[in-house]
Amino acid sequence: MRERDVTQDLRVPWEEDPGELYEHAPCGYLTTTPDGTIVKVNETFLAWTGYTREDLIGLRRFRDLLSSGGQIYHETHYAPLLRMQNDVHEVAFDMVCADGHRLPTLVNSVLGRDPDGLPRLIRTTIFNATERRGYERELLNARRAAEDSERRVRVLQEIVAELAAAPTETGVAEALVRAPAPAFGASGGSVWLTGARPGELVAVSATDQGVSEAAAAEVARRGDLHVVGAPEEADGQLPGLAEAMREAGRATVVLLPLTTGPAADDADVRGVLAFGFAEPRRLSDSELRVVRLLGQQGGQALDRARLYDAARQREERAILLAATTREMDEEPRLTARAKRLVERLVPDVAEWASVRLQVGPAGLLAESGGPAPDADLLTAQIEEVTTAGEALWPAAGSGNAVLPLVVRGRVLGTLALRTGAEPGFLIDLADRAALALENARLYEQERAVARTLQRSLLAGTLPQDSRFVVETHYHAAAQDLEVGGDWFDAFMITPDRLAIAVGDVVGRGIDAAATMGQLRSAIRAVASADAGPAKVLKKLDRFVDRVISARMATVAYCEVNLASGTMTYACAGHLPPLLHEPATQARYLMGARSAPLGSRAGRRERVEDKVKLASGSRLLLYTDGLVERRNRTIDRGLDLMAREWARRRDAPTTGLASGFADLMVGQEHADDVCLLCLTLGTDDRMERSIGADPMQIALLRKEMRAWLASHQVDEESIQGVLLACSEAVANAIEHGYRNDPFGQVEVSATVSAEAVEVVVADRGVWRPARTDVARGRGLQLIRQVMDHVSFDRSAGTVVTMRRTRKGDS
Amino acid sequence: MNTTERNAVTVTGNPTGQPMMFVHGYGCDQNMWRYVTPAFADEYKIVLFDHVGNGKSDLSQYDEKKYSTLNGYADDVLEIIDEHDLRDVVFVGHSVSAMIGILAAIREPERFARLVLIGPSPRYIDDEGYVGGFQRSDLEEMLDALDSNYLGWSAAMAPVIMGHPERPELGEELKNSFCRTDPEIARHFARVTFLSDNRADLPRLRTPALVLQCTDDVIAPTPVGEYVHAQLSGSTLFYMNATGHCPNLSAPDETIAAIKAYL
Repeated sequence: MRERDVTQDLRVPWEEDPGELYEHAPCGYLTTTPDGTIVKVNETFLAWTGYTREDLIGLRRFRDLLSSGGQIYHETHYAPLLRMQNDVHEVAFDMVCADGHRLPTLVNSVLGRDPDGLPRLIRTTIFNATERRGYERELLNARRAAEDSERRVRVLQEIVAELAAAPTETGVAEALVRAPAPAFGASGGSVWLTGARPGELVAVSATDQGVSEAAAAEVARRGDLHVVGAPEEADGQLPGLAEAMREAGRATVVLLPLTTGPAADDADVRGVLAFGFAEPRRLSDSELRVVRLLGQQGGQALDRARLYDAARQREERAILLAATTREMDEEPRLTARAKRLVERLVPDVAEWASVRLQVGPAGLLAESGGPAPDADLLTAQIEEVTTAGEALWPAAGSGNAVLPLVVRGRVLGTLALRTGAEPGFLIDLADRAALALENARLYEQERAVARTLQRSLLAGTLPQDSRFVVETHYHAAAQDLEVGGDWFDAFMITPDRLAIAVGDVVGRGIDAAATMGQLRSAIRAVASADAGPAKVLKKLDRFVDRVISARMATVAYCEVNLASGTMTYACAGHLPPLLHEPATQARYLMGARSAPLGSRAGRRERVEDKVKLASGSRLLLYTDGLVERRNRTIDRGLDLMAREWARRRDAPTTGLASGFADLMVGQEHADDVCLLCLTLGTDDRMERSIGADPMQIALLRKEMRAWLASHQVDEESIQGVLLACSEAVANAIEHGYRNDPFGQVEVSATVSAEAVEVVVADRGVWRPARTDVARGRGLQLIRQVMDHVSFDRSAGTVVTMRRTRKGDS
Repeated sequence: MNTTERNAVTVTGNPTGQPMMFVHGYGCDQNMWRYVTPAFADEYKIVLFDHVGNGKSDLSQYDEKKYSTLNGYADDVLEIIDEHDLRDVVFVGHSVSAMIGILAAIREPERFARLVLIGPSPRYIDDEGYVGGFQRSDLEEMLDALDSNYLGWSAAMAPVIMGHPERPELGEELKNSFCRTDPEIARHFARVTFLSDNRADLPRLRTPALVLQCTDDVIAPTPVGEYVHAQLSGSTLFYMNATGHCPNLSAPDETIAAIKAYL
């Protein structure tokens, strides 16, 4: 097979004339010198452009056939490239034809060089690209439109995001004023916001001065978008705009109302955004759509910011109101509460504030801040407000607001302020203040009633008996708390049986006081000679089933048999009684414990316990306020109390309870405290029989000291009597029994209002002290401290000593 | 600031020679000096660079705000001079870079020995009592021409040219690859160039300058060159036989001779 020869053109049936090919090629063909001067051109190019050879050859440069813009491109891009690369391809140029119309073309050039490399000629082919360039132009326009639109949408999105994040109107305005430059290429912008009064416009942010405020106000009134293409257009249309545009050098200005919705009819205008262009600028439809959208977004953002501002202010006001109420509640007393109120209001709400209340004969006044207004005027205003029950508002933003403090239709007093705060808030404030003050007033009233009731209930006379002393004390809380439910009672069940009780009712105030009274009466009713503490508590359980307010009340209840010196007791949820017997440690009676009255939990079975009480014993019943402290455990409190109680074993019974309460709780205590002290063995005669052992003397001294103290014998007399008594007993042991351990010494003492008499007797044989000087001196001592001493040695030795109660007189 | 990378600075020629800085104008890059610089390489230290946004400069450094006036480009010139510690600089600026050189020399005259201004124009648009050669509409048309010719600029090609500064051969292989740049930057540079008006700056120049005026230059017509010469005290005006706006390309020998004669 023969190979195809492709080194030659295929022969066609007719000869192709090279000249014909050049002249009528399907493209324009130009040959120029290196400086662009046309030296050869084909027919195709001449036919397309309408030039003749005479027009072009040797006269025109290629460059001259291009549009002005094309010439710049030729000089800055095409020519340099051709020199550097020797060829340039597919460059788009518009040829300016002989008749002036433009022919879109695509141009290719090749630079031919001589053997030395110097440029010799440029061959250029020109393709008619009318359709392609048309298509490209559409593409280009579409791309530009898309790019512009994308840029505007991006800017709009950014602005919308900024607007949404702007918490205040100013923030919104600042975001809006930044928008026109990137979105439309504007030279800057200004924002005005509508003010509180109709037609009022407030400039908030501006980077451009090309718009008059009057023009913006007019646009706000009209609510329509205004695009002013030239200063002349503004003449007679928008006031002051033409001058402002000329002054700022603005050819086009856009005034955009910031509306809350799309339709100008139902949308409210919240402000105006204006921006300008230095050069005349026509906005495309799509741009106008974006502008309108910006106006709506801006208006809605302003609306949102206004609502947000209002909500924030309301929230702040609500917080202030709540704080004011709370701070007032911390002060239960009326005067202090009114003072709190005015101090809270100045300076947060008002420069000056005053509360006047019509309570008591003189009324009540609390004032804060200053300067105070004219007194006569204020008095007249207060009178007017009090009479009418209507608030007086300051005239035109100055002067005082005077509001009535009304509770349940009654004018309690007035609140006067110098303030710029809005009326709605002040009315709320006055309502709350009135309620808080009225509550304080009612509270004081109720507390007074409750105290009175409590006192009257606890005021019954306590049993008087020579065999014991009962002392009680009710210690009201130092702070202004409501009355507590603490109570005490002491009464005789039979002539030989004493009942004592201390209890605590749950709750406070009048209710607690009343319940306490009921419970107290109930105990008196159920206590009987054959009942005993356990039974009493059982009956009380049944009682509190009916009297619900008494449920969970605690009580310590004791019955003392004065004949046998024994005590039975029971504690229903109450702190244990504290007992101190002469010559021993103080101790808590921890037996017979059970749950509070009416309790559904804990040990509900009622039990009782019995103890023998020595003469001179001191028993303390108390409520928890005596030992409970926030800064220590109750066990530590009880330990401390036991020690202190023991130290007071010899203290006079008079004032014992109140003194002990002062010691334990001091004056600054947070709770009510109730105490009952029972001192036993307060007979005016005391008899003891002791073994002939010197150790017994110390015990006797202790017992006798307590006995003497319980009869309010003065300390000097006690010292004297104890000294004489112990000397006499020591003599009896030493001289009567000569250290006979089985010998007995009888001691009897009596106390009367005038004197203390002690008799010491032994049955031993008296032996005079021969060698013991000390014992001899003992007799002398007795004579010194006692007013009268006599000896009877008829049967053993009987020493009778008497001391007059000097200290009492 | 690393100006070497930012501006693709190349330093060749005589390392100890007086520095001679050649600066390209709008539409091209440092390649446009290829026929001129060899004639000065023996005697002078040749400093070439590309304005940011052109040639092999770092496009990421393009800051629309900074380069919205010619002063932004003058900043770069001074920074390059400072970084390479150049003194007694002979500044050869083509087209808009002639003006950029004037702005730089006004600000730091102590750095500059002489200016060679090829086709300078302080303002391209006609104004009252001033012929710049163009109407505003011509500029819009020129931007259209730019856009038309950048339709061929494909996103796929851009990374090849811009993403491999370390492999210049990739760029060299492409046709029409000289002087290419990002279309957006080219548009912006065109606006900044052709809307600039630095007539007021001319009298403030104290550095001796040579104005090279071509024949039939449509970008910087002869009256503009004469205006520049009149405003620059101590300047020399030289009319060239070369035609067009780029004598450094179309008539390198005449250009070299004119500069040498001046120096």
